[in-house]
Amino acid sequence: MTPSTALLADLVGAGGGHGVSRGFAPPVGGSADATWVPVAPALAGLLPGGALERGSVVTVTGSGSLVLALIAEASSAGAWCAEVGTAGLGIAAAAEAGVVLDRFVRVPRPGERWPEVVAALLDGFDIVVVHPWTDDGTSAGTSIGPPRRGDRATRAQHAIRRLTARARERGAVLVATSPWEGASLGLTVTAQRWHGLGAGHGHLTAREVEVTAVGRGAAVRPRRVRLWLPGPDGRVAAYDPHLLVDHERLVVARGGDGVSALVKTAGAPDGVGGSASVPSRLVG
Amino acid sequence: MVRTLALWCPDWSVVAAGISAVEPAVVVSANRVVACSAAARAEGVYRGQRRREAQSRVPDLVVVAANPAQDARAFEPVVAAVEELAPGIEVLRPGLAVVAAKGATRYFGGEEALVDVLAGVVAGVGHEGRFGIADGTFAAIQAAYRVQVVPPGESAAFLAPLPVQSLGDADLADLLVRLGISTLGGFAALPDDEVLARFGPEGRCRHRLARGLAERPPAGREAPPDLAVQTVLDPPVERVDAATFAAKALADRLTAMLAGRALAVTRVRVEAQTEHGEELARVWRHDDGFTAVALAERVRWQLDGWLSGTVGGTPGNGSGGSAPSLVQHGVTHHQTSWHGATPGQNPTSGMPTAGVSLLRLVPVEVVGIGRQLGLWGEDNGGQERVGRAVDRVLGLLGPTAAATAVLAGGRDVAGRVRAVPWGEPRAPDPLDTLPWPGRLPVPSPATVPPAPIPAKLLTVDGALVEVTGRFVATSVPARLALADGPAVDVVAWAGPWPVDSRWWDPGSHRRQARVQVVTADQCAHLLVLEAGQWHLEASYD
Repeated sequence: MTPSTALLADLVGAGGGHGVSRGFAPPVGGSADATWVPVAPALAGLLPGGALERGSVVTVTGSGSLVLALIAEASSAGAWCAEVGTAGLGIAAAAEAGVVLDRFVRVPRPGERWPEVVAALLDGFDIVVVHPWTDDGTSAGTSIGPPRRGDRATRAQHAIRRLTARARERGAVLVATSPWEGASLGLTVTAQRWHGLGAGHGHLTAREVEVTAVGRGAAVRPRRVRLWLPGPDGRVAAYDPHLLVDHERLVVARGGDGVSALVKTAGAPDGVGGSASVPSRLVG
Repeated sequence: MVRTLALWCPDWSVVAAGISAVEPAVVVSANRVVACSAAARAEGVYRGQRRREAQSRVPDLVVVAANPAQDARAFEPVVAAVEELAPGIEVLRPGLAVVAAKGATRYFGGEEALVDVLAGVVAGVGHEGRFGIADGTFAAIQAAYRVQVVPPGESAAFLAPLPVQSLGDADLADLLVRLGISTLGGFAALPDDEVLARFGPEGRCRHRLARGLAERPPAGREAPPDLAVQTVLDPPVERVDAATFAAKALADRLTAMLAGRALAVTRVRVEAQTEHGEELARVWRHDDGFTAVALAERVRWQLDGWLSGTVGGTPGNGSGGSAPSLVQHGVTHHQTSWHGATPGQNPTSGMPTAGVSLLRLVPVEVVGIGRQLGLWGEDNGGQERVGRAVDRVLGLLGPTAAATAVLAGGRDVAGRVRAVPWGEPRAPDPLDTLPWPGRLPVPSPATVPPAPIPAKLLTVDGALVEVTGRFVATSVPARLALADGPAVDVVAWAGPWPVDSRWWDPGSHRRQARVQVVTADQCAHLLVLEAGQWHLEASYD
């Protein structure tokens, strides 16, 4: 976190008090809850019960930052997270989201024995993130495990069923980033818009997203939530169009860029203009 | 009160070590005698004595190190033999088991007759078993120590003259003796509520035993069936060391789950299924509730007993230090009996012919635990759990398969991350906190492919966007094609941001231009141009 965003977090964050760092509510009760794994308040509306249920499988497709946002609260509250697969989550982004890297273990190349690896991790970890991968580790496929063909496909199906049962048995949360038969909830980013990047200037600062959750049982009716992922202050928050304006105003108050550009940023749907000066300095 | 039969094999550790009763021998743990043979006892050796003292009394004393696994393994044939006639036997510890006597008594026409038959059965597998029948487990065990059948309803009277040390609680016994109470009868005469007030719930439990009642009021309840935990062993386990791992994990899981419900298990059925569909089950019992370690130990012993029952085991011949003779690979169908008992009389009805493919722990009886476990050290427990899980992964994939990451100093996405193999110290990188001009602004990309994906950043007329030596784009990026995919429109972009690193070292000198783009579907990417080729380095998804 750069000093300027830290400052902003202080100002924007609740009460502006000291010690407001990146992250969400202070950890309460640690990971001791036998049934629920806490999530950031902004995401609670997506999940039946307002938190991740232990023993469940959740798929999060198409958004690494949503995965990170989902596990960050639990991680900062003391939960252990593991990641299996090569299509790695950005570590810097993870740290920014609030994932504690000390308790974030990665197994990038599980190879053919991935079901055993995931099973072993489910025994010990609170949250296991499973990515698709290919054997050569060059690019991510679209399904869990190596490409499914014939016998191998059946084996993968078996493994998925076994692992679903294993997660349920061990009370771990399995987060899959590709379709997973037997998942109780699927989260997808259905709409998004980036702010901060213009035609040749600015840099990515904030993103509005619409996340849709569809699941089984209580979650069968799709739930849609608009979020800042991340917000202008770098945090996940419920969507509030004023946040961007407030943020820009703060920048102005602290002697940022010109007023006209900032208003334009807040008002323009495509997010024109930049508020930070780092990249522009770098341009030749 | 349930009529209970207790089976006690005296000096079991000595017997299990393969030492005959006429030989003076002791089994020691931490330099204290934990069991001794009758011959040694006759020379003045007793349990709890120092090894050196025992040796000074009996110069030719055979000293054997305690080996609970061996004890359990050797006990299994005895239990299996008794179980054939008296189903539902529960093992308290190697050498001591109890079983409800009612059914078998009726079948054999009386308790004395039952004891005779069972004694014969145990003798048939080459051991000496002592039996006692009384009301309730505790009285039955005391009766077995004295080879006695206590008539129904007379257990309290039978227990009354016994010393308070019989309760097996040294602290309580010590205290009672100092209070002038030396017999169970004296302890039993104390009012129940006063005992609870003075000695707490545990003291009250012992008080109930002394009165010839069940260990606790009928609060100990049948466990609901959904508390069972099981693990599928794929491939089937034929080796005790592999089974041990499963046993430990399963025991931990059960105790943790029960602790979460403020319960402890007092009777647990260890069930195993073999590849050939054989079902094995044995109930273990611990009246104070199993701890995870104690439970894992029981499961391991039990598996050991079952699995090594399939191979020709020849117990150590009094050498004590000899390792349990487990055949380490495969399973032979050749079965020899235990301790040189007559071949063909092998109690192998419970012995599997194949590896164990399913292991299940079914809590038969649970009790509430008054104290809260894991109030402190919860994290530590979690860490141990995690450590075991990762160790297992490392065992599968190799020592560097799992890593945590620390943020390191650097400008590009991959360079900012330093992987720390599991188990190595995670020193924070001091370079990370230094200013890195040219570092990418936050937010950082959330998805980083393992290797950069070839891309084409194109102008409106389809030409590749180029960057001059002074890091100025020659034209406006309009379209982006990833790998071999179709080109999509670029709606916003910024850059190129130069990275000209380590220019002083021709070997590692890198010159890159980085661009952030947002495509028409509002996907944001970080593109890098190096040596005339665009790559997608990371995605802001």
